[in-house]
Amino acid sequence: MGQVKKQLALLLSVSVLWLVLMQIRDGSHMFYEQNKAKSWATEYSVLADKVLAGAVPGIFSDFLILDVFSIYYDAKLTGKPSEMKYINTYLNRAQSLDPKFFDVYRLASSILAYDVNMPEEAIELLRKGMVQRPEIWEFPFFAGFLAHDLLKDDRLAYELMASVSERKNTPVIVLTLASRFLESSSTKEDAILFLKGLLQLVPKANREGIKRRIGELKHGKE
Amino acid sequence: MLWTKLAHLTLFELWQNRTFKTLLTVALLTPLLAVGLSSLFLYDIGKVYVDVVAAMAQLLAVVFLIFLVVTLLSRDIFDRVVYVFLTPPMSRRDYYIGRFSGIVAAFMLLLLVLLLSSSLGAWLYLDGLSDMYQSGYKWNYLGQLVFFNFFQYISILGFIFFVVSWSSGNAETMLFTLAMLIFSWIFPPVLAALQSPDVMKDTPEFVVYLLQWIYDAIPHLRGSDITISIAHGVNIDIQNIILYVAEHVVYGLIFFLLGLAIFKRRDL
Repeated sequence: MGQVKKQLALLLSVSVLWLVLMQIRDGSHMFYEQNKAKSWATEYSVLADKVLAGAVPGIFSDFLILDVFSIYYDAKLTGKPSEMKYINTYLNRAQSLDPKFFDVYRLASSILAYDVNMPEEAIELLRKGMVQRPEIWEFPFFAGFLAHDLLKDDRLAYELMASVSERKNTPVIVLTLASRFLESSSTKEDAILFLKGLLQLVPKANREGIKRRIGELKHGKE
Repeated sequence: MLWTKLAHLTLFELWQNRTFKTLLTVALLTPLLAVGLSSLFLYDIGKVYVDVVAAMAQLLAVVFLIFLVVTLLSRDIFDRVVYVFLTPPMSRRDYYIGRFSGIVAAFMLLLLVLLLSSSLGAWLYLDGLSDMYQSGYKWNYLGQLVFFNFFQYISILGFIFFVVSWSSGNAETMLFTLAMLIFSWIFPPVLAALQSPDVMKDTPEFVVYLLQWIYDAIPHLRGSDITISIAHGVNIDIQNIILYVAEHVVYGLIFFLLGLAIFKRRDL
């Protein structure tokens, strides 16, 4: 009987200590949150990233993409859109570790171009994707569209979109749209149609910038 | 053929080891981690799944080599367990080959469990997704990934047997093994940066030779390049596969034979 009492006392003590530990953690967590230093950075070294990633660059680039989502939500939640500028850095870091990573280029053509307002940087990333994934038609098409829609540089758009038709598996509607952009005969409806297609490729939570641009086009803003 | 009996015994010894069982459990649970992480992504879900399996394969291999192989061989030599085996008719050569073969068998078993569990996970999870989410995943890619990892670490295993043959203690063996692993990981990108034209024009010639010599002396753990290609559904051609396997087998064999030559003459 004495043995059972000892075991119960031990169990009770461990339970109480566990509760105390949880309380301490709650307190230290709040303290940590208040004093948290900004962890995002714009400076980086490709060499340092490669050395750190060692034999597992794939999963390191995956974590960098998760960082992109964290930056996006942090900027939205804290109401500090200036934080978004870090997205460009983290996309480039992920691209240097895994140059074939599709999500990098999707995020470049959506969030980086329309939410961060860095179309030139987005086109630069998509250009890298065009070299790394020559079989993908989306990259030159997206880059050309960004040049046409945001930079208003139809010469650049022509240069970028010209290679779309050379790529395999390009849907006919894309070729039609591309040819209209190249002939400078595209209408706002064409741009809205394309942006609506792009919306389907982006998660619901990250569609704000593209929706805003569709709204602007509908209301006649160039 | 006494070495075959020791190989069996080594496999049994490792099987009984709690650390090895923990590694097997981790290998079994890897698909859950892979599914959890890949579900956070937009499109390259298949790619992220393969990335996680590749990272876990590397982690399991490193833990296996450092905490099981180094510990087992150090215990044999420095705690003098080797006396039990080295009684006639078993020779030092039989002991060396037997231990090596048993360890290779246990390593294959570990990777096989990882391959089966991750293939099952991929079959249940990735096969249900449409092509655009699978990143070109095919059922045989995980097999290739595990296969390449296996041969990559045969080089390191040969090196561990070499270090054990002359080192004076457990800590020394572990230090050299860890140093070789870290060096093999970080040296190639550093060398590539040093060999860029801008840096090369200011680098003395003997430094260039020294760097090249170091690069030639270390195992080339190029599994990461291959893993990235596999993760994106890019096929590796048969010639590259043969050269890759041959490179690591020959590297491992060189150090294994050097180690055997030293071990035959060392005081125990």
